[in-house]
Amino acid sequence: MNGISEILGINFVVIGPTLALLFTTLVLLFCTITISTPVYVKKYISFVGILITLFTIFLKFGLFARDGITSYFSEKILLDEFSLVGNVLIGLVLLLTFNSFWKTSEVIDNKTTEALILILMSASGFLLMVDAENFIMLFIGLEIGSISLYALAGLNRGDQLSNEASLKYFLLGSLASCILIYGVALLYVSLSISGVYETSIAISFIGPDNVPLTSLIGLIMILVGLLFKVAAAPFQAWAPDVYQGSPTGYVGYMAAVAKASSFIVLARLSAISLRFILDKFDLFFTAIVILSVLAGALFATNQTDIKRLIAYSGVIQSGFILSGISFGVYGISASIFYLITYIIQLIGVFTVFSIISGQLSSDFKISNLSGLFKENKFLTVTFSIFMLGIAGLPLTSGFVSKFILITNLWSYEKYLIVTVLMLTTVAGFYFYLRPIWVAAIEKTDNSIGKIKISISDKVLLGFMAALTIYFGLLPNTLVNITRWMVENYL
Amino acid sequence: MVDLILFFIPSALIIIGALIVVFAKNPVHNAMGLVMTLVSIAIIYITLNATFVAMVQMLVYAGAVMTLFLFVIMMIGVDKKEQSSESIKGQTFLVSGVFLILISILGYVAISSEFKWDLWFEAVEFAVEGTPQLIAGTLFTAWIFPFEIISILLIVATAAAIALAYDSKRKKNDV
Repeated sequence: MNGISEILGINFVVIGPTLALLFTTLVLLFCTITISTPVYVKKYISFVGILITLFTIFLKFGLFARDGITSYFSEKILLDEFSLVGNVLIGLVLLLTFNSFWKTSEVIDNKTTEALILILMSASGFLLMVDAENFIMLFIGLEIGSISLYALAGLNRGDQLSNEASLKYFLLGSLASCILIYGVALLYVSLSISGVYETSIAISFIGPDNVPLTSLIGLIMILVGLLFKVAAAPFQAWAPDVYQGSPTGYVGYMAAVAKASSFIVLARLSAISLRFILDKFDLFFTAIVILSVLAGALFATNQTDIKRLIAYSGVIQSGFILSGISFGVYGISASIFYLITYIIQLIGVFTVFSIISGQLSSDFKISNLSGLFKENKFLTVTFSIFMLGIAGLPLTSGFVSKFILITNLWSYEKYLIVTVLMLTTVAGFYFYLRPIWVAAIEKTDNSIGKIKISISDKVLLGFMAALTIYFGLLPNTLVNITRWMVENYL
Repeated sequence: MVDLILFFIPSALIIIGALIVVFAKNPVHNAMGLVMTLVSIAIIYITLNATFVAMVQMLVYAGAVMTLFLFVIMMIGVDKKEQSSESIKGQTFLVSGVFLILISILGYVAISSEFKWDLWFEAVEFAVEGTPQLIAGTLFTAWIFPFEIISILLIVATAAAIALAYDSKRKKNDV
């Protein structure tokens, strides 16, 4: 028995986080259908589940330190730097958004447990996705994650916009999944491979110039399927509607977890699978980066709904992160730095929104923020820090990440992209600073009254704001982590 | 001789079933025609030694998908009036255009190969009888983990569907 499991590479530590989350969801499921459990017990169960998940992620580091880069389950699951960073990121997203999604689940009528189950399941799916070595495994993980997200978007049944968001996300998302799995099929047809490392081995075996057109198209289709999930233009059409319609408390989690896992997978593809033929995709990536940045900036300027504004700013940030990922290993390290800092800011912004506008509302105009500063100093200050971080003002992590990214791109001699990115950053100050102006400086008669913030929210917001400032002043730690991540692939 | 019978009878059934799907007035008859086509295709798969595909065809298409079709038909109502007007503008024109293009492609292929193509493939000796053993051999060793994970995908889909549908049902009962 031992021999068989060794040959098949069965190892339960490496899928520990997924198992922990699944076990938590099964316990929750059991509590729902058999014994009536008080709500606070479910809260503790899911929180403890998330803590156990973080602990099992910690165990994976031990396995990595002992064995190095290894694949498990007959080359289905991969343990490398990317999967470790991806696991940590998803665990962090779960931990940081726990407060807001718990509060949302509490007020959503009669669906508390369902919402928790969907959230934990989607996290387990995305964990599998960042761990996947085989593209089929990647697809299954992506589907587990996305299907839960489609349902989460429409969980607020009474709201028209929420239903619309769910349906739109589902239809477009399944189309993107179709494209991805079709790409996998094309790659398998042309080269008889379906793995991350197999691809690079096959390409180096037949020579970068002899790669058949079918497999190039297949790879592009896989990339398109992933780019859809990060809402890079021209695949961004779903993002504003989904961000606007979904219950506000969930949007932070939904946006952050999908972006984190998809970008980690894209980075791994770029660092390993495509490393010999990356220059063939130059035009593709350049077009996507420039389109995302320009389209995002163009549409963000005239939004009145602030959640839509953040969605379009997400399109811009996707362009930024992709620009580093697509041009080589140093760029990848810069992009991962950018990704981590951006996700912290994104979660922070949406936590503030869900505190201000209530957990479920889909309607949240910029004018709703007016006069926030009068009685809610703490909220305004943290909100301003996050917005300035996304905009990229000095002293925040947004500036450092943009600086590292653009210097790296400059050393790769991508002058066109650097110019476009710099111009968009400058243009971005207009729509990033407008909400801050409305919230803090503009004179208004009907200001928002004092909003009660729970201590846990205060701690979380303070922590994220502190991280934003800290990485802006002393980015060394994070830079070293991202350097460590790619140093095996130089 | 047996080969020919096993080929021509299912083929005739496939064509008859397809015609029923197109021409029958009653939706239930259409669905049954589709079942006939799918089952006959499964028989042809078996004669080609693709047992696994045949079984999947029976289970998934003739079983699950057709049940879904019938369910939808029953839900909408069998005795609903047939809609004969064009729902999309220029529908007939588009469809006939596509049909013409298809016919001309077929004609081009037929003429350019000078009507000399070989429909009769040579008989192949199969080393392994049937595919299920082969598929099971890889599915339960190298692919065991994805296979198990699919079950989680099913749980997620069920949970998502219940979470979305639950509320509306409760409200209907209240009224």
